[in-house]
Amino acid sequence: MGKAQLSIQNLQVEYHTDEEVIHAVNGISLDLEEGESLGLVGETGAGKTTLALSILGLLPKPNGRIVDGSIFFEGKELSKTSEEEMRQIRGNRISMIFQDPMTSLNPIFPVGEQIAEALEVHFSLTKEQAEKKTAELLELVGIPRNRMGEYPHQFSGGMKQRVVIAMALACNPKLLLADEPTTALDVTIQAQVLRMIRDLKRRMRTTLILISHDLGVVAQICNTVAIMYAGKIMEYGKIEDVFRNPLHPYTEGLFASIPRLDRTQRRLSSIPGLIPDPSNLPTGCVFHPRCPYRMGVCEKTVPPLVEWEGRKVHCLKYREG
Amino acid sequence: MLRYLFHRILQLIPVILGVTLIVFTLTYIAPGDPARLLLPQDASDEDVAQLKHAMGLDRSFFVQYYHFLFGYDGPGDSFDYKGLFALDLGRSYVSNRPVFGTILERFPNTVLLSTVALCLSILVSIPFGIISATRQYSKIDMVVTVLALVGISMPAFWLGMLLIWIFSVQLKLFPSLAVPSNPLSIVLPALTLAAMSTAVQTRMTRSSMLEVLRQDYIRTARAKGLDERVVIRKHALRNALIPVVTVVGIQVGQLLVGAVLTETVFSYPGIGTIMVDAINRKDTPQILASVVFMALIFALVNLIVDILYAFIDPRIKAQYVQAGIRKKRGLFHAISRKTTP
Repeated sequence: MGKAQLSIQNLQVEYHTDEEVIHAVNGISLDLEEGESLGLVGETGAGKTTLALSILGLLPKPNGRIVDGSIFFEGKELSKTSEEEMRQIRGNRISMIFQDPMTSLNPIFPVGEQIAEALEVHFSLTKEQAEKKTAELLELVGIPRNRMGEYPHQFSGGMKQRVVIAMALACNPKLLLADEPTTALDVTIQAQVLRMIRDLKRRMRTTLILISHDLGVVAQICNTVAIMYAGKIMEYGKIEDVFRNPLHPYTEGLFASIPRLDRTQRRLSSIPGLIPDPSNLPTGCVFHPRCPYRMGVCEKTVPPLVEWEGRKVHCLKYREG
Repeated sequence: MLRYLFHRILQLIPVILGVTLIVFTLTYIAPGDPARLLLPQDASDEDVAQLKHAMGLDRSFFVQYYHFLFGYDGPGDSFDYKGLFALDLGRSYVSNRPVFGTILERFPNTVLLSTVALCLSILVSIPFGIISATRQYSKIDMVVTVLALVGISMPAFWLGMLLIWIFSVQLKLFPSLAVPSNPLSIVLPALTLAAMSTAVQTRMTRSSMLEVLRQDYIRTARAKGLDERVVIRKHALRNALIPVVTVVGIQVGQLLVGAVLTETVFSYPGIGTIMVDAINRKDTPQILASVVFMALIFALVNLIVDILYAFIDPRIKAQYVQAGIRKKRGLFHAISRKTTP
C-alpha cells in the first residue's frame, strides 16, 4: 500500500469512570489514502464517534484516553502531538461535522461569526476578508449571504447542518470527519446534504470518513467501508465487495435487517441479542454470543485480521490456507 | 422592546399595591399604640384618644388604608400627608421629619455599601466559579466549594461580629463603626454583606459553567482549533452567565435585605438602620415608607435584570420581538374580521 494520509494502528481507547472501564475502541487499524472516502458503519455504541474524536484529540477529558496504538496523519503521530500543535491541525487540516446540528452551534453568536472564527484562527485574514470568505462558504452550502448575521435559532435543522458543514469546510481540510451528518435531518434534506458533501469532496479532494449507521447513506458516498462492532472492525473493504458479498456474519446480519422491496417479508429480520456491554466484553470474538455460525473456538480465540478476497475480515470462519 | 418595557412597568403597579396592602395590614395589626408611645408615660386615656383622633388612627382599617394611599387631612396640620401616590407619607412620629426625606437622605449610603459589596462579590465569584468549573475536582475546586458552602451557611450578623472581633478588636486594622465618609470603615460591612452573595454566585457560576462546558457547541468550538482560553471566555462564559445574571439580580434584593442586618451590626447610617429603628419605636409612617421604598427598588432591579437578559441572549430578544409582532397581527386580524361582512 502507498503512503497513507491517515494511518491508525491498533488504536485502543478507554473511558474511565469511578465504577468501571469502558472499552470503547479495541484495537482498530485503518489506512486511508488521500481522496479516499471511508464509511464507518455500526450500531450505536460501536465506538465510531470515539474513533473520530480520538483522531481530533477531543476525547472527553478527563475520562477518555488513548491507552494504546497510534494515529499517524501526514506522517505525524497525533496522539503524541502537543496541544498547541493539535490546535493548528484542528479545524484546519482535519475538521469534523458533528452529529446534532441543533446543539452543535453556539446559540448566542451569529452563524457568520462562528464560521469566520475558524478562518481567523488558521489564516491571518482581516475582518473584511474573513467576512467575504464566510459569505462564499455560506453560498457554497446554499445559504444566502445576507443571513450571515442571524442566530442559530433563526435557522431550521437542515440549515443549521449546512452551517456546521460550512464551518467544517472553512479551511479546506485535508481530512473531513462526518459524524452522522444526516441522522438528525429529514429525508429530503438528507439527500441534499449528502449530495453537497459528495460534490464538495470531489471539488476539494478531501479525504472523508463518514460515520453512519445507515448503509444506504454510506453506499451513496463512500468507496470503502469498515463495519464496526463493539469497538472493533469486523470487516473492511471496497464498498462493492462488502455490499455484494458480505463475509462477516455481523455484516451479513446488518444487510439482512434492511427491508427489501423485492422479497416478501413478514417482519424485518434482526440480529438476535444486544450489542455487548463495553465495560464487560465477551471473550474471544466479541460477536460470538450473537453469531449464527458460532464455533467452539470463537469463545476462546480472538480472531486475527485475515485478508480474504481483497478484503480484511475478523472472523474465524476465514482462515488462511 | 419598548413595548415589553412598558408592559413590565405596568405590571409593577399591582405588585407595589399588593406590597403596600400587606405591609399596611401588618403594621395595623401589630401590637402597641403609636399615640401612647408619643405621649409621656403619665398621659391620661383621654389625651391618648385625642391624639389618636388627630392622627386618624381611630378610623377603620379601610379608611386608614385609603388615607395611606391618597392622603390624610386631620383636624390639626401636624399629621397631614398627601398619601403614597404623592410620595408623601407624612412625618416620622419620632424625629418629626418627612419620612421619605429621611429615606432619600440615607439611601445613597445603602447604595454605596451594596454597590461595593455587589462589585466585590461579582469580581470574586465569577473568576472563582470559572476556575472551579474548568478544574473540576482539583484542590482549588475543593477549596472554593467548601468556602462557598461556609459563605452560604454563615449568618450575616454573626460574620459581621466575627470580623469586628478579628479586625477591629484584635488586629485594630479597621474601625468597628462604619460611616460612609470613611472608606476604610466600609471594608468590614462590605465584606460581611458580600459573603453570602459571593458564595451563591460562585456556586451558580460553577454549576452553570460545568453545564455549558458539556454542550456540543463547546466541542464544536474546540474542533475549530480555537485556543482553550477563547473557548472558555467567549463560547462558554457568555452562555454560562445567563443563569448567573438571574442570581445576581436576586442577590441585589438580598443585599438590600442583608443591609438591614449588616448596617445594624456596624451602626451604619443606611436605610436598614432607619427601618430597624422605626420598627423598634413603632414609627408607623417610617416603617411603611421604608418597606414600600425597598419593594419598589427590588422590583426595579428585577426589571433591569430582565432587560439585561435580552442583551446577553439573542433568543430572548427575539421572543420579545416576535411576541410584539404576534400581538400586532392578532389585533389586525381582529379588526379585519370585524370589517369584513
